[in-house]
Amino acid sequence: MSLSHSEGLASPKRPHASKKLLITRWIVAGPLALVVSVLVMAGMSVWLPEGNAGIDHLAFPLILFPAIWSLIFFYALLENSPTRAGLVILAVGAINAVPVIQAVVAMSTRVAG
Amino acid sequence: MIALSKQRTRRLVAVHGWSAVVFGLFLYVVILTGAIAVFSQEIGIWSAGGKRVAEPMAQEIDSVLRDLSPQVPETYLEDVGVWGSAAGNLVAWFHTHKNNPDSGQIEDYGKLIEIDLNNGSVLASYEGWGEQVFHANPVSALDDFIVDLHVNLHAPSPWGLYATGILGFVMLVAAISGLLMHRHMIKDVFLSPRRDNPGVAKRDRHVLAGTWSLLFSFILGFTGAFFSFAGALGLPLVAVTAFGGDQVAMIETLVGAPQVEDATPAPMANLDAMKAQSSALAKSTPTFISIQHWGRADAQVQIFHPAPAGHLNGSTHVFAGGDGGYKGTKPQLGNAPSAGNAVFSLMGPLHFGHFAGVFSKIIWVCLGLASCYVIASGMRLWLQKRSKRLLWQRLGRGVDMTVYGTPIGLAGAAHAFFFALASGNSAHGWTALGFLGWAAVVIFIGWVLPWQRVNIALKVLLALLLLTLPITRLLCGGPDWFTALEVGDIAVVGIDLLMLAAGVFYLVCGFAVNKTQAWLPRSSAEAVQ
Repeated sequence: MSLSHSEGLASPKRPHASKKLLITRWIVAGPLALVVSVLVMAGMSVWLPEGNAGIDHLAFPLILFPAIWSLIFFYALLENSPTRAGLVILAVGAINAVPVIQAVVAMSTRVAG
Repeated sequence: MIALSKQRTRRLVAVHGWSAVVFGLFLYVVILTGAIAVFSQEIGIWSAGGKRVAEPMAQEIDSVLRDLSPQVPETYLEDVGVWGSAAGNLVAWFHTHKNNPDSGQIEDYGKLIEIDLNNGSVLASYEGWGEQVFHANPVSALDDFIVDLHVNLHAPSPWGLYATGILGFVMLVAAISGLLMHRHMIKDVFLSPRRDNPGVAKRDRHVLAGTWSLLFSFILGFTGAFFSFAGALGLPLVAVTAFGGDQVAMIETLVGAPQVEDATPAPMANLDAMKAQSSALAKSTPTFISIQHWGRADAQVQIFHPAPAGHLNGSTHVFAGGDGGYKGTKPQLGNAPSAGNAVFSLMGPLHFGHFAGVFSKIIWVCLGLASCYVIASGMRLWLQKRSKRLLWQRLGRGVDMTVYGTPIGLAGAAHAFFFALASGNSAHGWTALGFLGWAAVVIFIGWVLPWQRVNIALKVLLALLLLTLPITRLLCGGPDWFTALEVGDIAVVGIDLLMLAAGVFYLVCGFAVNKTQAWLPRSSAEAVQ
């Protein structure tokens, strides 16, 4: 992939390809970054240590949410290939979605029962 | 300087500019109202016409609460919040926690009673959900209006909080992209605007104000997004993964699990004695007292103190309600010291700027106003490059209307508030109507007048509204300066003087030859007509 295409910049030869990459970057840095940062916040409470008072795993996800979003957003913006950025962010989102889905399923089962 | 490729820098410039163009005007409103809200407590005192009692929480309150407690339903004794109002009255909030069918959330429900500590008489009482009764007192309508505009843009919950949270993200984007793009950070801190070229001078001033407020913008964007999203989005979500959706269990864990319940009736120990002990330990007057399970064997009293001089954070002291025994201090989160609590404790002081009293508040206001200038000047620079297109010319008018229209609306709201309070009309309703009415006047002026005159007309209008505010306050029954100073209400005199100074400033600006603002070519401006 040439630099101009991977950057999503205008290319006189392949304008459609660069437009597609530009749209991909918009999606990755926009809605995808927001959804994945929400999933990371929710998932963090499962894998973060509880700490002395048993509240660190609850407090840090809430406090760090703006930092998580910023990190994902600027990675999506500065990564040369928006497709690669999208895949990495999706993977992070998928890992953190596992405990969220488990919790939602458990809640639904309890309500149904 | 951070080395970035040309393409990455170009993307950062695009995001920095476009995010400001799309969200800049909303961000301006939130930052300006935030800068004003730093002094919301003083505005509350000023709009209430001074304090009836200088420090209600420093007075004896035990007998007052003891007399009131039998007058409320027993369920409301589950939780009692006590604090001093801006008007210098004691406020007691007897309440329980139950599901609000309208919101589907567990919320406070009870009776809020406002007491004159000079004679112990009940001035007003309101019964209902927390959000309803906290906004029921007409005296606090003006500071409530300003704070709500900053916190949620007066949009319904949780959408207003989501909106201001997103604006916090936009502020973070502007700050981080500005930092990454900055080539001469240290040099720009001492940049002297080049006066020989007006275009370059405008850019220099934008860079200078932006560099000084860069760290501040980052802090405000971060903490603002935290305050907006933590309660509205974070708590329910984390409660799902950590507590199977039980938000009450999560909040109990975060604020510290309650002790073992004992509903045996038992008399309360003397609150004034507990207050005196905690004040001596904390070296400050308490701002809030929470009494759980009033009149039961398991009653617990938490007394919240602000930070004393030289400290960043305040402290909370816990007492057994039955015998008044001291149980120690309590962190804001959890029951033991933790990293989570240490970081959480920084959020409030950093966002509200009250960590060093009035001094840090003034710095926070100045940096907030500098951020407002950065937004307005940045948008004008962006529009200047595109001034030949009609769409951008119209946005240019929108920038002026918002930059001057927001303070005009707020000053107009304050006038309406004073008249409503004096005439016995709904202060909340008239404050909002005052803001909307003056906003409509600004839109009319911006629409009808030629562009060059809009700027001057709005500055003069703002100046007149600010200069007449102290007169309106006096005409509507507020105390004069001598009376206010006699009882130590410095806020009344201070804010009056600030209004007069700001009025004179805008009057001078309005009538001064305005070369720097006239960034649209005359022909383009006329084409808009």
